[in-house]
Amino acid sequence: MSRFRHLLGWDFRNLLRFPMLELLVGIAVYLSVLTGYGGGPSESPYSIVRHIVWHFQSEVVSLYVPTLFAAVVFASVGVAREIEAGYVKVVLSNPVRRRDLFLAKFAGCFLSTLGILTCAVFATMFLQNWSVSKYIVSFPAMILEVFVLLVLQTFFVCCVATAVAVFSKNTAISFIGSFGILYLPDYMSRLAGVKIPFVPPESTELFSLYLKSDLVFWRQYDLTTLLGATVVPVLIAVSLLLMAFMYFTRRYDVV
Amino acid sequence: MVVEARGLVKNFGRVQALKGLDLEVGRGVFGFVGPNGAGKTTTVKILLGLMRASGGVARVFGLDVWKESFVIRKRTGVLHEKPRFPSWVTGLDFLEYVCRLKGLKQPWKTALDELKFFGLAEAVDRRIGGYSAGMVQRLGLAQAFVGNPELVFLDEPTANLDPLGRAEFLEMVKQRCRDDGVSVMISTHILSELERVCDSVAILYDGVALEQGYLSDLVEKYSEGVYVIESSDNMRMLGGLEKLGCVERVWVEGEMIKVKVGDRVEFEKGVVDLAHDLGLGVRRFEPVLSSLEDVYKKVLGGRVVE
Repeated sequence: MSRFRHLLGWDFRNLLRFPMLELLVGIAVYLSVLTGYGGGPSESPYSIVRHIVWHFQSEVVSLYVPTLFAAVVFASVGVAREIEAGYVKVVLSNPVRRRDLFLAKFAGCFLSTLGILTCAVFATMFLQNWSVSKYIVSFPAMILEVFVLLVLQTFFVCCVATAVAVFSKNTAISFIGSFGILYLPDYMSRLAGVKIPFVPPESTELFSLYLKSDLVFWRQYDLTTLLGATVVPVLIAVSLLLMAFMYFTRRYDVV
Repeated sequence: MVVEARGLVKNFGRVQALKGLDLEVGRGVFGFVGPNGAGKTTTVKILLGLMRASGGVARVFGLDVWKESFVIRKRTGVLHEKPRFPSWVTGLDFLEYVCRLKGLKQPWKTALDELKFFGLAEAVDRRIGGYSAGMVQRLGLAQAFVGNPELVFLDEPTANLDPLGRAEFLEMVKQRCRDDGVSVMISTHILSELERVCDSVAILYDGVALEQGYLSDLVEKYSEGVYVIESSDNMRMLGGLEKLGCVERVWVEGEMIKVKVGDRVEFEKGVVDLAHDLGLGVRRFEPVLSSLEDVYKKVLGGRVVE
């Protein structure tokens, strides 16, 4: 466990040494989620916060591009580049289990991406709604809903990016490949007017609509759609990650 | 035996890097020589569990190199060829990280002591990106030897060192072997240096070990059967030697007689008897030994043109 902790700590140190990246992602989040809400004169604090949170739940979908950008960069730098440059060879020459290194790499990518996005989203939520921000903190359960959406979307993106990084073992291929796999299907489907419901960002949108279940919208969707929006992307992500894990721990020849 | 390999095979697609390598490495300093592409680096990586062999068996400290590689790596250190370290951290930070991965106590102090031993005291707080090639090599040596492993693999360890640095490195290796009882497996092309430190050698070519054994035995085996003799009366000795049946050629070089023989055992007995019969004193009588480079060339024969 202590080795895993050291590996993870080292990974954080490596990934978070680019302040410009964090700043860019933060700015992208802020610009994506523009809303200022002061609340009506007779509105209750619950109603005000509900409106703000609904908006942010919806906007998690539009955060898909900043999320995948951050995850792809972290996976390419933290995994593919380290394999390509030979740093992984140096680490694995020490008493380090491959599974610990793999999990530390994934955890570093996931937690770094999630950390930056969470900080940016909640900073935006408070800064853009400063006059009513005192009410937001009173309803942590609603804020948790936004966080859950962020976690699901980030988990999917990081799993795909990490898997591509491990299989490609090349920084450029990892970056371009991950971006292509994660962005192009969504872009093409929107051009074609078709929705792919079982992967982000569509699955995130469906789940956010479900969370607004006290509105009439949710009745348009049944349990199957809900499961498709939540379980299927997680299964896809975990399967890809598991394949990469099996390859890295059993097949990968360190050259 | 520290390292044992039997019939080791490694395929990279259609390329067969190892074709049934047999290897036995005992304690001390072991030299691993061969031309480029012979399979030296591949062997080291298999022994460390960084690659899985396609066939055969390999053990380090009696442990299977793939199934128990974690345990093996707790007891070994390695300096890879052309080592690469993260350029954005200091040498001390990186070595402290390695100490933590190895589970060493007082990682910061251990790292600092190791860097000082390898002549990097002035550069502990400098980023690795600012190190010279020689300094990177020294850092690699430090991370290989930190924690006093039982066995250290050194793959082309003197590649980036100047002649003085190479001599200093050899002294450090000998000192660690002597003081800490570390066994070392060195892969290098610089045979003259290897000759000064190694106890035994294996010569690889095209994925197999053509020859291996103690250096002294190999040198004697591949010596050309030439002896040098210096006696109290070289002319009389010369006359007597020419009559010995096992002598192929005799000639004089300065103050010494050189003799090329066929049967060494018969010759050595014959010289003793000859000196006794002629009443001559023998001041010097020893074989002219080949160097490791001579052995290497003879073993490889016409296989490689480098």
